[in-house]
Amino acid sequence: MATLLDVQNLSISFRTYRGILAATHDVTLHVDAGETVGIVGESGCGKSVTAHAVMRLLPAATTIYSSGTITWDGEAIQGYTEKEMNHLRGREMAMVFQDPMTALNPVLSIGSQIREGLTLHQHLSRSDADQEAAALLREVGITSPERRLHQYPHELSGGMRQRCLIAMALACSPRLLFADEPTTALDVTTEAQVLQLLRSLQAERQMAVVLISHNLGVIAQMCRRVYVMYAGCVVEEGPVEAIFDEPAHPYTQGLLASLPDPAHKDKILTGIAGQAPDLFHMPTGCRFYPRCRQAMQICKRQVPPYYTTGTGHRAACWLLCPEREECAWH
Amino acid sequence: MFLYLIKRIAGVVVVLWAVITITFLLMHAIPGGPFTAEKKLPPAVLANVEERYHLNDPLLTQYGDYLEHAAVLDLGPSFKYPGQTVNDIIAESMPVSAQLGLISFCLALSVGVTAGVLAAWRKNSCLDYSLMLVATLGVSVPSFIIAAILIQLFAFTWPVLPAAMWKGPAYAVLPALALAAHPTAFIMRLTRSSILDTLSQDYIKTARSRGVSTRSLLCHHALRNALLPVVSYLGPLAASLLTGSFIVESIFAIPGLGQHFVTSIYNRDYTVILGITIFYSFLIIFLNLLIDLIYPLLDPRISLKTERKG
Repeated sequence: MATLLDVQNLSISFRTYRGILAATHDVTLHVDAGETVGIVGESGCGKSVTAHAVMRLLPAATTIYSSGTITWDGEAIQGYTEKEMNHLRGREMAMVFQDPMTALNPVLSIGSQIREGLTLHQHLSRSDADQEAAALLREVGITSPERRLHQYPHELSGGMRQRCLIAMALACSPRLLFADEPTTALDVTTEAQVLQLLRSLQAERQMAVVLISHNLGVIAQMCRRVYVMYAGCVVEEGPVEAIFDEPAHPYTQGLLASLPDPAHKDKILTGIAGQAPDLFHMPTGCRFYPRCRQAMQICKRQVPPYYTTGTGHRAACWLLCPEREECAWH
Repeated sequence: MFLYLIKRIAGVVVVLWAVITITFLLMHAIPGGPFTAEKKLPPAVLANVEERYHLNDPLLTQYGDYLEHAAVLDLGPSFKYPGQTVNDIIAESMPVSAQLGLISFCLALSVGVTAGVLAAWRKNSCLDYSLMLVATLGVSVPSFIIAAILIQLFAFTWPVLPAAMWKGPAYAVLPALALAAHPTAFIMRLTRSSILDTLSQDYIKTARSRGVSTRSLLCHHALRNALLPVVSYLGPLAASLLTGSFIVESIFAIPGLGQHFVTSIYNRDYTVILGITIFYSFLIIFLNLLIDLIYPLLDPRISLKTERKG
């Protein structure tokens, strides 16, 4: 399938009062048309920043695109003007945000917020846009959509609002949907419904979905391929089954080991010792080595390259280096 | 909504009563009276005049009488301008102050909001810095200095506008500018900071992710949310502008209400002090009620239904 989005070596930094903060480092990822890709990692690892950077939603005044390229459908879009980006945003790519409580404008009706994209990108008349908006709300499973159009966000529940946000994002049939932790703010039953909805919409509309989550279970259910991020870097990537069955990077192994297992309730949960590095004081070499139980001398000195594992996925870890034994790095 | 209005109007009566009582007491607590002058009146004449205006009655009786008359909107005769009632004075000078105040109000609101939006739009640019410099000057330089500078520039250096008096539209320009300077600057700063605050909200990012243009973001998505604090400021502002400013009216020799308010205190003109205070309080209360009725139009989350507490 054709590559829709191709991000190469993207490094993003922010200007802050404490100095330059490196949010992501050399992130390389791609999304093919119609596939669902997951990005997983703990808070602050750069998953949202990467998605926001692609859609250029980061605050322009303080964001530095230090290196890398973003290619959309074969065209480099970094040089795009704000106007050209507005042409892409909403129409070609859209985003569903984390917190449905704050992501809707409280003073505008649901209808006017959904219509906005339709009149903007598809130049529909008010009444056509109204009909289309009602159809979208029905598609995301909202009952009596005509009535909802006149309601305001505070009159709806969290799950309903997230459905409205999904309807809004889908309005102009984007080819790529970023779902930035779309269920983090919802309760578990609503979460299941929203995920089910996303999955069926993805299948019906044949659109690509990038699902950002810290929840491995959600990623496993939804995605075909996954990128594991740690401290601004992609540490492991590949097909979901391969990564879940045979994680190659110690960080991924740690993540999977820390999942509770309903079959062994008396098992003590193991976490990953230590905490994610301060983005102002990034360790040299591999960013995970201070927490890694299998760390070697070289991990401290040199950034590991990507190695392809036996199951066909890639991980950035010196443990995978074929010459590891001979060089006696321990 | 109807019940809400009735409750609010009942509140107005209570507040006005409190205002009358406090002003009445304070007024009688200051030494001197309307007829104390450097040249003493003969005791017989003084007694006669005090008899005429019921000033020798016990204070409680005077208070009771006043309330009785105020209830039917009769604010009594002026002590210093014989033959004129307080109602006459207000009816005569209020329109002048109100005209001037209305012009200043519209000027402050339109220029303040527009400049605030522009400054927020071009945050940290040359335009932003120059607008904010002007706004800081406008907030900190008192109106009499601005008035003096305006008169010097436009009445003497380039004699294009009249320096004083109140005889036609051209006479309103300089006093309106002097009066509007402070509120314009204040509204500008308020709008700018409120818009910047709103622009950092999540829903603005959602709108951007739909490809909404910057102009529409500012005018459609941010401005309505950002205007709430500005609207709260408009009630008291309108009241103070409409009732006139003593300083600006004195400098430009405008026969407005503001002058009467201050001179009446010097003169211990009891009824005028009370009358204008009541009028001013009523305006503030009424305009605040109006503002409260405007809120739900701006923000659907605000409802005026009286809450039933269980």
